Amino acid sequence: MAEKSVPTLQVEHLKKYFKTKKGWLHAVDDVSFSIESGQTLGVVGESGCGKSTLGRTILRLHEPTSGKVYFNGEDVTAFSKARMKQARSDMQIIFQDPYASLNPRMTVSQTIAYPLIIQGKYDARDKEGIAKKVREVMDMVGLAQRLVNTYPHELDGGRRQRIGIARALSLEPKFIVCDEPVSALDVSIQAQILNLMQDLQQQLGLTYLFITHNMSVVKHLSDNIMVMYLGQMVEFCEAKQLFRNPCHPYTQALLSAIPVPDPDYKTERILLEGELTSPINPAPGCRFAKRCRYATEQCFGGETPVKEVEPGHFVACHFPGKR
Amino acid sequence: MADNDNILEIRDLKIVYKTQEGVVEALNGASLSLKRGQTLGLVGETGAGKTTLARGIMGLIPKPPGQVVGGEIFFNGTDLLKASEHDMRKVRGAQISMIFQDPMTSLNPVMTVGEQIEEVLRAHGRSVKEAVEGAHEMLEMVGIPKERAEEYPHQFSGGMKQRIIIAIALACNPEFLIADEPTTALDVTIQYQVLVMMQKLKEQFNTSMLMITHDLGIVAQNCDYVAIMYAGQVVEYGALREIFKDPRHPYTLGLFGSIPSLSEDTDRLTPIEGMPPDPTRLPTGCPFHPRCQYATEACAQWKSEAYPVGGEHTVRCLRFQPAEKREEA
Repeated sequence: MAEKSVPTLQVEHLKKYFKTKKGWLHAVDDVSFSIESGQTLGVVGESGCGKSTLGRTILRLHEPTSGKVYFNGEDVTAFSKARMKQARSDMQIIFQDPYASLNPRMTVSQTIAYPLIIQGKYDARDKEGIAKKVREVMDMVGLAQRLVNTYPHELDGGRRQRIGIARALSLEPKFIVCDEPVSALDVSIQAQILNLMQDLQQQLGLTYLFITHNMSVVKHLSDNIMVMYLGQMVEFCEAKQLFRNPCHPYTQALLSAIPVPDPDYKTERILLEGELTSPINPAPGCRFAKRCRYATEQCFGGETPVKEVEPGHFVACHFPGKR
Repeated sequence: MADNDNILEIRDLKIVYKTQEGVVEALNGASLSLKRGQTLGLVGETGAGKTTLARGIMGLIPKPPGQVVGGEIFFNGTDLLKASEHDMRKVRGAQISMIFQDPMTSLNPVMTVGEQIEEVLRAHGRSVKEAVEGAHEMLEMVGIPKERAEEYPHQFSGGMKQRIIIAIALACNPEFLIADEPTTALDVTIQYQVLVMMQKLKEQFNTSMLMITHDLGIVAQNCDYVAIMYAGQVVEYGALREIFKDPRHPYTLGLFGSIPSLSEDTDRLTPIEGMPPDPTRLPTGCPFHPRCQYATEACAQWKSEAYPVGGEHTVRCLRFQPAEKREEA
């Protein structure tokens, strides 16, 4: 499928297990996908489904248990420490919580300049060059110049998240993992940040892996969407397709549970019983089977097949599209 | 005095917090009413005063720094602001109950969940035996087997903890329930489970409810009336359809423009420009005017008040001032 051009990011059979007292926690379990240059892949799922671990494992903030991550055709998992540091200027991350992810003792300009010095793009003594670059990046993300010497605690959530974005952008990366960048923000501020991220993507040709639990945000931003459940991919397809024709029973339940801001909107809503089971030493078979209304005996054992139900639309289910 | 159909009527409530940085005007003349058996959705962003309003009704404003400086809160026709602390203790939990936002921190970690439900019942005069039976009954009602009454909060998942908090709030069968962002900390499928359960219990007991949320989707699917708050005021109030089908206040319009739609494809969102005001230094006149695209010079001078625009719908915006009032001025 990647004959015509090398995708910016290609992930093959990526696994990340954590050792716990009770056994192995399968946080990311055999996930494969690719993102073309300049596109956005939305990753959705509920808390504990492994979506943040996936983002971090791709950047090797967690070492993968097995599997490969190719960035512009190069195998990131085989990089040496030094080569990885170098690669990080092309692969950045924006964190979820703008209150916890900024160093409270660094000013806005120090925070933005830090990666530039670490990566050796600027000499720490080149005050003027750094200041110029910081001003440029602040303009890009819509931070007023008068804030250059303020500390994070003086700023509201929206401005703090702009600092987080500016810090990621200062190295001029090609690929950014966005880990719930707007979920801590109020809706009106959230909309400002989403517009900003869209503009930056177009201007700079960025590729995003956008992790969120907010379905309307993911639909708005993504080209493709991957739905995760307990560490595994359950459905992958083009964004509009997912909302038009959700084929995995979990996706169907997830979409139907979203409260729609229209009093006249009526649809069949699927009430899922129970909650996420533990990803520690999971039983074989489909991990959703216990809560699935269509589950039969074969769902509780063996491999769950990944079927292509329409071109580019993959579903990990024995009965995709059943309604 | 107050309308008999209304279980709750708040008039011109003003609450301030006196801090080192200055006086925070958390509520700035908020008014609203709630009919018996109905659910009112209270919508607004961080700092709009939603939680202060809820705490004001419960008489739980921390003093100092908080202070109620004006207004009336009628509950079943009596002004709660004039009630003694002794009387308020009888009201709280028995007649008015509150579900707090964060299920992870609002349960006592060193008490079994059964004991935490029993505590409410005991405080309102039930015997030990009645309280234990009542706690078991409540657990079953929110879908938790009564055998688990002996367990501690950490043994439950987030959705289950929120069910326990709901059980505590409903234990004395209150007439009026305040739910402060009851599902914000939960995942969407669990949120749906909890909302369905709350709706069922509400119908079963004919409870009136004030649902505080920032999610317009939850309001559309669960409420009968809506109050939109901004900078300590209710800027728009009306029946569900009046607000969702015919929003008038520029702030309400801005909120609707900020949410990405699931049914339509939009390329760009139309957010509200700027930031919410600093509550220690509110703008003069209409607090929204510095961010409002329709603002005129008159907005900064205007003595903010709500105007009826048909039905039960009221809007706190100068653009909807009736013509006769305009001539007076």
